[in-house]
Amino acid sequence: MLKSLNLVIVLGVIGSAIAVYAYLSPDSGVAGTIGALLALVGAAAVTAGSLVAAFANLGRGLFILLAFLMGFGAVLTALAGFFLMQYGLAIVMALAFVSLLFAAFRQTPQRRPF
Amino acid sequence: MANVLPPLIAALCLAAPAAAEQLRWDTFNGDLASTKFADVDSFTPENVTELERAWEFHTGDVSDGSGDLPETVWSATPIYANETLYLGTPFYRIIALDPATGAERWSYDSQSTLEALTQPALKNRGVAYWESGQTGLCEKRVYLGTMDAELHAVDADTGELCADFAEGGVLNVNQWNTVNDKFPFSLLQPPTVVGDTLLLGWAGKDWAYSVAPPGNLMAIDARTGALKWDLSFIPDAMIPFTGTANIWTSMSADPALGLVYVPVSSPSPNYWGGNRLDPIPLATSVTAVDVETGEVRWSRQLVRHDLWDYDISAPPTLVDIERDGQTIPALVQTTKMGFIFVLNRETGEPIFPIEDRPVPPSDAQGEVAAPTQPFALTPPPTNDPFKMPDVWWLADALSFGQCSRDREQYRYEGIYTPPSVQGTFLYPGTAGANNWGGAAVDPRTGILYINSMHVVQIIRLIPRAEYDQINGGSGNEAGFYPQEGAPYGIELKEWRTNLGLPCWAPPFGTFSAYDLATGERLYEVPFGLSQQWGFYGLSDWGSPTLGGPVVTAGGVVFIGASMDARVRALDAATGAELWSDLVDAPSVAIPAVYTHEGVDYVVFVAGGNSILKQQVSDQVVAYRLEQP
Repeated sequence: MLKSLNLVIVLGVIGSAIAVYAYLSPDSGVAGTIGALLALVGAAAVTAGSLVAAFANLGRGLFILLAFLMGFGAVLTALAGFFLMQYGLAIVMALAFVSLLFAAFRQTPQRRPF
Repeated sequence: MANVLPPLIAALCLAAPAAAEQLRWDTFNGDLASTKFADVDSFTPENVTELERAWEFHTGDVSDGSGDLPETVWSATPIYANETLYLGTPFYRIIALDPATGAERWSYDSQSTLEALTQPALKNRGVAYWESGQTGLCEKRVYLGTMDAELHAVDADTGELCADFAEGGVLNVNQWNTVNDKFPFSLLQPPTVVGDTLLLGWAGKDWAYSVAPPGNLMAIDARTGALKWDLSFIPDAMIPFTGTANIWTSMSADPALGLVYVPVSSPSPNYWGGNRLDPIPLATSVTAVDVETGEVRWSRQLVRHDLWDYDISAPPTLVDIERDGQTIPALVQTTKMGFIFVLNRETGEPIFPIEDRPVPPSDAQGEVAAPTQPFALTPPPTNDPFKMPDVWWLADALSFGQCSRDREQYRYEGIYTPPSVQGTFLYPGTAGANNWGGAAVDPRTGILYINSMHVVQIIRLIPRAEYDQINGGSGNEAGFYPQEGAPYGIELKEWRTNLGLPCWAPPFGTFSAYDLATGERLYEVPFGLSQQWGFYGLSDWGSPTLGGPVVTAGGVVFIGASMDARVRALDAATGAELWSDLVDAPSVAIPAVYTHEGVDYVVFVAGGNSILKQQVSDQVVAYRLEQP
C-alpha cells in the first residue's frame, strides 16, 4: 500500500460525504441538481482512484495516468464545489489535489512485498 | 378647539398617502399607495444580521407538475390584519395563521378546479381583506379569487362563507364573460379594496388568440357582491377584432382623490397587431378611474400599438415629491420596458419629460408599427432602451461562436424593434425589466427602490402554414404559441447556447435606488445569484428577478425575487447585501412586514416560479430579531 495516499483517501471520503449531503439535503440549495450529482461522481471517483492506486499493484505508467486523472477530477470537483457554494467540498478537493501532487512527487510506486 | 380637531384629523387622514398607518400589512402592496414601505425602525443595517426564524409553515398546496396536477406558481403576499396572517394558496384555499407562532387558526377550501384553465400553472397571489368598522359575523372579510373565476368571501375570524355576499358567499365573476369568451376568466390576483368597493380585473390565456375577451375593470360591492360599475378598455368598434387589454395585476388607489390607478395590459394578439390598427388608447396604459363612478379621469398610454406584450404589469407607486419647494402628488409607474414614468397623479401630466422618439417599422404582413413611442429617460431606465447587452464572451467561446452568429442573424434596432419572421431580439424580455413586484419607496425621503431583470429573448413570427406544420395546428408546445386568427404564430425563447448558457453578458439582474426629487439614479448593483444545473453564478452576474422589495424605516430593504432561492436584507443606502437565508424555492412574492404584540416580523412566501427555474414549494417563513 502507498501510505502517502492515505490522506487522499481520507479527503476523498470526506468529500464524497459532503457531496452526498449536497445532493440529498434540501438545506444545501442544490439538492437533486445535475451539478450536485456531478460533484458527487467526481468526489467518489477521486476516492475510488486513490484506493486503487494505493492498493492495486500498478505499474509506473498506469500509476502516473491514474494520478493525473485523479488530480484532474479533484480540481474539477473543487471547482464544482465552489460554484455549488459547497465550500467544504471545494476545500477538501483542493487539499486532495495538493496531497496527490505531494504523493506523486514523493513516492514511487512500490510493489507490495510477498 | 374641540370642534376644529375632528375635521382637521379627518382631513389629515384623507390627505396623507395611504402609507401612513403601518403596523398592518393589509393589502397586497402593504398600503393602497403601493409604497411597500414599512414604518418600523427596529430593523437596521447594524442589527439585521441578527434575524432569526420565528416560525415556518408549509401549506401542503404545492405541485411540481410531475403528477396529475399542473405545477404551482405561488406569489402571495401574506396579509396581516385583524391580528391574523392570511394566505391564499395555489390550490385556492385561505389559511389563517397566528402571526407570532405560525400556528394554523383555520382554513377554507374554495373547491376550485385545479386545472390550468388559462395560465399554464396553478397561480395565486394571495387574498384581500375588508372590514366594515362594525362588529359581528362577516363585518371583517377575506376574499379569495380562483382559477375558475369565483370570488369567495369568508368571515375573517372563522373562515365561514359570508351568506350575504353574492350567492351564499361566492360570486361567479365569469357570468360577465360574455363577449369573445374564448377562455374563462381567472382570478389570480386578489381584488384591490378601496372603501367598501372591490376593484377587480382578471387573468386570461396569453398568446393563444387574436380575438379574446375585452379587458375590463369591475367595481363590486364588498358586502353584497353586486356589480357597481364596469369599465371596458377596448373601444366598442374594436371588440370584434381583438381583446384583453385587461388588468391582471394589483392596483393602487388614492382615497383622498377618489381614484384608483390601474395598470392595463396589451391587447391581443400580443406580437402582431394587424387586426387592431385603429387606436386603443387605454391599452398598455396607466389609467386613473373614479372609484365611485368608473369614469376615466385621465389615462396615459405608455406603449402605442403594443407588439411586445409589454403589459403595464405593476401597480403604480403613489408618493408626494418635494421639488422646488413644492409638494407634487406623484405617481411612479415602473414598466416591463425599464422606463420609470413619473406623473402627476391628479392630472396624469409628466413630472419629468417624456420624449416621443421614432422607432423602427415592421416588415410583417399587414402590420403597421407605431412610428414613435414615448421614452422616459429621466429617471434613467433600469435597462438600456437603445442597446441590448453585448455577446457574453464566455458563452460565445463555449458555444464556438453560436452567440455571435445569432447576434448577426436576428434583428435589433433598439427596444421597440418589431417582431419579425427573421427573428427579433426582445430586450427586455416578455417578463420585463420590472414586473408585477413593482418598486418600493420611502415616502420620507422620496427614494425609490427597484429590482430589474436583464434577460434577452428571441421572438420569431412564423407564417401560419409553417406554424401549422411545426405544431400540428394544435395547442402550445414549449416556446411555440398559436396566436390563432393572426397570420403568424410565434416562437419565443431565451437567447441561450445549445448548452443552456445565456448568450448575453451579465449582469442578469440588478437592484437600484433613485432620488425622485432629482430623477437621479443613486446606485445600481448586481442583485442575487443566478443558478444553472445547481451551479451558482458569480455575485457580479446578478440574477433575473420576479417579485418586489419592501423598504423599512430603519434603512433596510427586504427582498426575495432571485432565482437562487434566498431571501435577503439589503442596506437601503448602498444596495449592499447585509443578510440572507436559503429558503425552499425562489421567493417571488413581495414580503410583508408587520408588528404583532410589539414584535416586528418580516415574512416571506417561497413558492417558486418556472420563469426563474423549476423549483416550487409551499413554504412560509417569518423572521424577527433575536429575542432577549
